[in-house]
Amino acid sequence: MAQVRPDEISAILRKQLSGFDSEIDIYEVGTVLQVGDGIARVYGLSQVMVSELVEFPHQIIGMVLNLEEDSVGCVLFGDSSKIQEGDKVKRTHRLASFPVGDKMIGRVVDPLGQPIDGKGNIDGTEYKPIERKALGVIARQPVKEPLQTGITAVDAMIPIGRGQRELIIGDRQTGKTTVAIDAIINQKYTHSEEAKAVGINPVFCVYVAIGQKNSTIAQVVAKLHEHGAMEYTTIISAPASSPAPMQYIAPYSGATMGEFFRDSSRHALVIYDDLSKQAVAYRELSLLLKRPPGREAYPGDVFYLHSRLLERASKINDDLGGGSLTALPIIETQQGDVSAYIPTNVISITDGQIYLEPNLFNSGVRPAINVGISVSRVGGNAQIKAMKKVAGTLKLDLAQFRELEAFAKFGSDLDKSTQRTLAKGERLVELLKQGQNAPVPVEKQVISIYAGTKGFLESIKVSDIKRFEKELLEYIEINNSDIYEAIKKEKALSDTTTEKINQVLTKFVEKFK
Amino acid sequence: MSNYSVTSRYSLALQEMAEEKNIYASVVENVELVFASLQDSRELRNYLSTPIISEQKKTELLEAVFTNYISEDVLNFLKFVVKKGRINLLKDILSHFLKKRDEKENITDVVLKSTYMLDETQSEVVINQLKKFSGKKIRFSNRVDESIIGGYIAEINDVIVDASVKRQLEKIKSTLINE
Repeated sequence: MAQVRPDEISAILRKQLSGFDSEIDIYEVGTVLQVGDGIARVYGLSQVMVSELVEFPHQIIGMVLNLEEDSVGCVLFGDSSKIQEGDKVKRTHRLASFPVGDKMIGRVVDPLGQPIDGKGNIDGTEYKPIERKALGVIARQPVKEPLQTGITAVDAMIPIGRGQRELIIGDRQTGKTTVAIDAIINQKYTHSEEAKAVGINPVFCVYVAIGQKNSTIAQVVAKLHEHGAMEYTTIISAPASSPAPMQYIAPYSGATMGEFFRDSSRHALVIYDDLSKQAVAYRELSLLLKRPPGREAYPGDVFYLHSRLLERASKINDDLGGGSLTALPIIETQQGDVSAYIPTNVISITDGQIYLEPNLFNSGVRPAINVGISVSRVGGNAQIKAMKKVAGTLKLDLAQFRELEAFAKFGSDLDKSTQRTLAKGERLVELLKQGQNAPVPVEKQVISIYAGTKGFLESIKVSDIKRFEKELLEYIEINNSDIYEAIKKEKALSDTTTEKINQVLTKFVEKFK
Repeated sequence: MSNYSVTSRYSLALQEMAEEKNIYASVVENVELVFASLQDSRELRNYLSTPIISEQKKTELLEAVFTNYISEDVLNFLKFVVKKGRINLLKDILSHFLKKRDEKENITDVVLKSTYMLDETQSEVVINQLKKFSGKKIRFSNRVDESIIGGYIAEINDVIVDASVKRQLEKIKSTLINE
């Protein structure tokens, strides 16, 4: 084997060093006064900015949160046990920022944008500050396009529009994450050619996992992969094992990623799962930074913490590209207590909430949405006309049913009209049940609800409803797919289509056994 | 550092008093003297900071030590600080006063680390360059630090101008590792 000659080595080295400039380095430093619990107090750094990143020894990054008379309070994104009193801290002149770009799609990253999915470095990204001011009034327009979640109950009664902020709230184990994941999976359709043909723009998704178990996050990633949803989704993961500052900034990173799509005239759906854990992380930081505690020991600016995040959701006006950023924050309540501090705050910030109840969940109504107290304040304008038409009576029917539900146990002692309301309600509730990760396209939702509200289900046994629905939708798909096409294209129920649906339904109900 | 709010108030009081009576220059001289004696004498520092010794005795000591060297006004200020029970913070108060003086007169401290002591002409060149860089008058001190291998490091408050060979080598190392 030929030996490498020394001059060959030096030639390569020289080449590598040719781009090396020996300029004088000028940097600003401070000295660590005190360190512990993931917080460092630094003397010096007199020119530093709030939320600027600073560099500690051992390549540990910190973020400046407090500027005081004679010191600076920093939070550490790494192991604080490696840092000692007297260590030098360097300014980076860079605000806390997150890399955005199309290359981020399909990746799992931490809140600073470092990949954690083992698929290598992410190139071709641009750093954007994680804290950005929300858009003003002029740049916005009212929410007008629907964001289909594929969950019939939501799309019919609590419709979400692109650019809306809709809170998903409920106790643990009520299927909050499932609702969010279903919404992501359902966006697959918007990326298809078929959707493009009828003028539906693709929705890119960002899932921000805050304070969750690593195993749960792995499950979510696997599920999204399984349904082909990772092709348009970015996951930002700040698991329970990560330091509190990471959990604190994760949603802002997600919003920055969503804004990238929004500002490039695309549509984004960002899910913050969940903000109660972020508030807890922020409380931890604030208390360690000796900010005074307020109600439930949260700092005074915990409202601003969430309002500035959720205000970044927006529908941009057409002159600026018409992009949108939809936010689905999730809040976990304790024992159904929605009047706790964080839930009331977030309820008041968002444009409505989807309330999930353990009682419903346990009695088999899944998704366990309590339709009575769930609302959407702006989504109604975004619903397609066909859905608006059929869903109008649905909410009323269910409300009447709930009112009379308590009497259901009297059975045949009730008068005819009460019995009919109860029967209809039971059937509608059954109709709105839906499996996990099985989104239903809007045209099929319209047909199901039409069948339910127009009384076609009266002769069907409650236990057969789900089967009836499935077979009905298949039947139409095979024999009368022009109905679906018409709803998809016209987005409304024309008289001819209504006529046709009536005919098909009557025929199918007769045939169904 | 948590004493900042206390020390800054006393030092401001001293400064304002001096400016009012138009004796700022002489007060600065006196303060420098007291500060230097505090730095030099551990006994004095301990004597003033221990709570065991009474205020009376501390005042007597200050009178005995400083009467012939500093003006009546500054001595009165020291006694006032004793009376207020803050004499243990005297050093911080005085150093804050001197810092404010530097700010006022646009002077900055510079520590230059090099591998050998610079001679006069060399220092002059460096001081002139640093003056241009910082736009301030320079109080220069030179320190020998052989670990930087060659070149120099200038510390101007928080800002560090690093032209050491050690830093250059580190940079070459990281360039080679990354490529």
